[in-house]
Amino acid sequence: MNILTSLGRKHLNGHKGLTADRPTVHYDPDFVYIPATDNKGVDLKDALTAGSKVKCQTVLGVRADFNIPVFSSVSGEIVEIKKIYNKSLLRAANYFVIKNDKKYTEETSKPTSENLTKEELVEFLRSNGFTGLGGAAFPTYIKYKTDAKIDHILINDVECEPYLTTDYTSTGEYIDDVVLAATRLASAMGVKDVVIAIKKNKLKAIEHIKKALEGNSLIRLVLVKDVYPAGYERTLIKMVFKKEYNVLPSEVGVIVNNFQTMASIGKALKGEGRLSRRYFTFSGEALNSPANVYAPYGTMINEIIEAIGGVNTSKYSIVAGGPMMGRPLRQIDIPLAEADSGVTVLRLSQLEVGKDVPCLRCGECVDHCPMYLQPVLMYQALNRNDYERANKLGILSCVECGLCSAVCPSHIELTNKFASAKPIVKIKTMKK
Amino acid sequence: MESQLVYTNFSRVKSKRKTSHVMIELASALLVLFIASIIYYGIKGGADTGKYMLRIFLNTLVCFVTAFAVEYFGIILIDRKTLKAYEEAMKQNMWLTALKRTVTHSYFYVTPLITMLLFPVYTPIHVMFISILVGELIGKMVFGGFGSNIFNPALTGRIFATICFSQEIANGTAVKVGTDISTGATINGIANSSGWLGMYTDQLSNLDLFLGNYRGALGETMAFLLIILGIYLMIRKVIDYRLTLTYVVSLFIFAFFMGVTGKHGFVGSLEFAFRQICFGGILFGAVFCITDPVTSPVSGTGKIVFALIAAFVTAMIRYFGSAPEGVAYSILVANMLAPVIDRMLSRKTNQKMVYQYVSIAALSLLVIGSGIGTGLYIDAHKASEKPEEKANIRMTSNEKFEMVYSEMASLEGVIE
Repeated sequence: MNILTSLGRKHLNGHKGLTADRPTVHYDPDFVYIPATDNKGVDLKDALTAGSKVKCQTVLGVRADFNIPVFSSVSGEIVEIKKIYNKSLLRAANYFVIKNDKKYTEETSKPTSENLTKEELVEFLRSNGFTGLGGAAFPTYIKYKTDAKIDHILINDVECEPYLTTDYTSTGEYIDDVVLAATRLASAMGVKDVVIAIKKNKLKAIEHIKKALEGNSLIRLVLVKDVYPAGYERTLIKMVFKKEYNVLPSEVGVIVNNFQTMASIGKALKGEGRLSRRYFTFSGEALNSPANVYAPYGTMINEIIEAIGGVNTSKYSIVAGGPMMGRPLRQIDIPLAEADSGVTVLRLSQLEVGKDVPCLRCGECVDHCPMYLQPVLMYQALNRNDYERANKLGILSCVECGLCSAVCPSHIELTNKFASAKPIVKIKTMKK
Repeated sequence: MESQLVYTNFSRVKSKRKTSHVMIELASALLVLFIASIIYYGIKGGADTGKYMLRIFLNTLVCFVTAFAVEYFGIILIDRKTLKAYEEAMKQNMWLTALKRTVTHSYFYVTPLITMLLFPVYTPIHVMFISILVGELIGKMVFGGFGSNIFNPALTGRIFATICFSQEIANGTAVKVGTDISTGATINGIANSSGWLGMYTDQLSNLDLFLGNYRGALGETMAFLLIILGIYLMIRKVIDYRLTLTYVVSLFIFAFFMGVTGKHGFVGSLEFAFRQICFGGILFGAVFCITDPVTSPVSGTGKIVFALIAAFVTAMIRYFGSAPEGVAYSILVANMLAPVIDRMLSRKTNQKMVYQYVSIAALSLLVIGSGIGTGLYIDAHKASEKPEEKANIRMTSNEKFEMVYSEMASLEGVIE
């Protein structure tokens, strides 16, 4: 640990015991809602129309932004296409409403050949529409379509976000698929070193991984400290490989994939079809019985919450994802996206609203920022509307991980302040 | 159960550590030190114990009342608009809200505690009053209250009092009887008058120095207690270990090299450096003054650079200045530079690492180099100028002591 920089110091209370090692719940919705637009709100190309019969993994349309197909998560029939609030676009957008026949009949698919070339691999990843299932939903094929020399593939099973236990729960079930995917991907990319990273306190998951990796010379297991944000790509690469990069991890020869993404790739490589159902963590103190729910993506959040026992408090706040990075929701009838790892429901009384005291410049935020920023100086600059200075301090590289707000002893809402100031800084600096 | 979804963007994970807890813990540490020194003067005071206790009680009262009054009216003046709006919105009395804020937002109790410990036991009440008034008003409230001040409030008041009332403070280590002082030559004064290079073990043994069995400002003498409290506060993360350790260690290294060139030998230099650290206000300053987060830089490099500058200035004032001590002055000088340090390091903390390492290394070399130079200079200076005085200092006879003492009677106070 370097006393001058700020990495891997903060252990957050994970609250993982609420859902970890508890029985999972299977939920079959009557309808699923799958976005008929890409992430910019443009309608899909070659979209199916209402009334079409679909199976699991039927292509519903092709996203215009990254040219990747969107798949159905259930078998049944498209009832209609209607406008529903989209939480990543922050406005209403078109959704396919698919009636679920609860049979989950799959499109027939064949196993791929064992020795893929790099071009075949990229095309395979694109045509199967893999996106990162860790939350950001970045298309996987773009990571592999690189000219840079790749030395390592890093499989991210860290899950540093409090409350979420999706990866932890599914590690035992998916590890064989992950190993298969890692082996094939490594041979196609000519990579000699694959790393699975996991927090060292997740003993059960580590056991599963160790068992699966016995006698495997390609893949190794790396245990990281139980700190936040150990699962953030940049932090993880720094912790595992001691390397830093500017924009993309491929600059230092690393490709990072989420554990769930790898599992989905492994299933598709085997010919079983990509994951159309996955685990979603429904956790938080406000839920009667928090649990990991196995459901097709596109299920409504409120249906699942009711199915697992509802809310136990009069006023609650709901967050898509974990409490640190997740977005608070304004309504509850929102479908889960494929990349969502879960939903956190918190009591309003848990949250401290408006209890901040003056900043004492202790530098705790500077000691913890994973982007090596100086939040306290940025905060002071924003307080006097000095956007130029905030820009010089690097506010635009803030990733809004929420750690500065979490560690601040004066309980100042730093992250919110930066999130709302970033657009202004962008505009002000663009003018010049 | 009927339940309602509430949209709130407030961050959902908060550390249990609160600024108020930090401040209370700091104040408790100060209180421990304060009580320890009261006990010391209670035991050692002899016939004067009653006078000491009364004076301490009155000084405490004056300090706290003044500090509270200044902060209370300061908060009302600064925040009157928000307070009035708050009063209308929450139907709460503005004056009561300000009262609450003085405690929970402004932490008025820390400054008087530090100020009390910076002065000797028998400091006159008016000196105390003016010191705390200046400290709170000019050191803190003028800049906008807690979190906005540039200078350490307690030290600001202390320096002001030093400039105005040096004689009163110098006499404050003991009760005044008539025109004489019953006991009192402080070890710092003696050391300063004789060029600092001696060991003075005959006047004050290592054990007494370590345990604080001598006179000085209330908080500065008990080295062992300060070390324990410092370690405790560092572990509890109330104070930043980078500030405290950099300051103490660099002064130790300075004194060590000064001892080496001052012909003390290796072990002798270690003893010399240890004694130099325990003398005067260095430990108190390192634990309670330089660590004031409001007036120190925010980044790790900034904190180390800040403490190195403070250590260098302390050494320069102590060994070359006319004042016997430089802790308070040096911390105020470093406080002044804190915004500059912040500004010079205002980029991502992992950028230009070479620049950061070089500046730390350069300042460390400066401290070591000036330590060597100081030792050589003082040694040569003394040998050439007054060869017989060196013998005088080491003498224990009462007359010689009186001589040295009368020399330093005109000198200034204890820890400025």
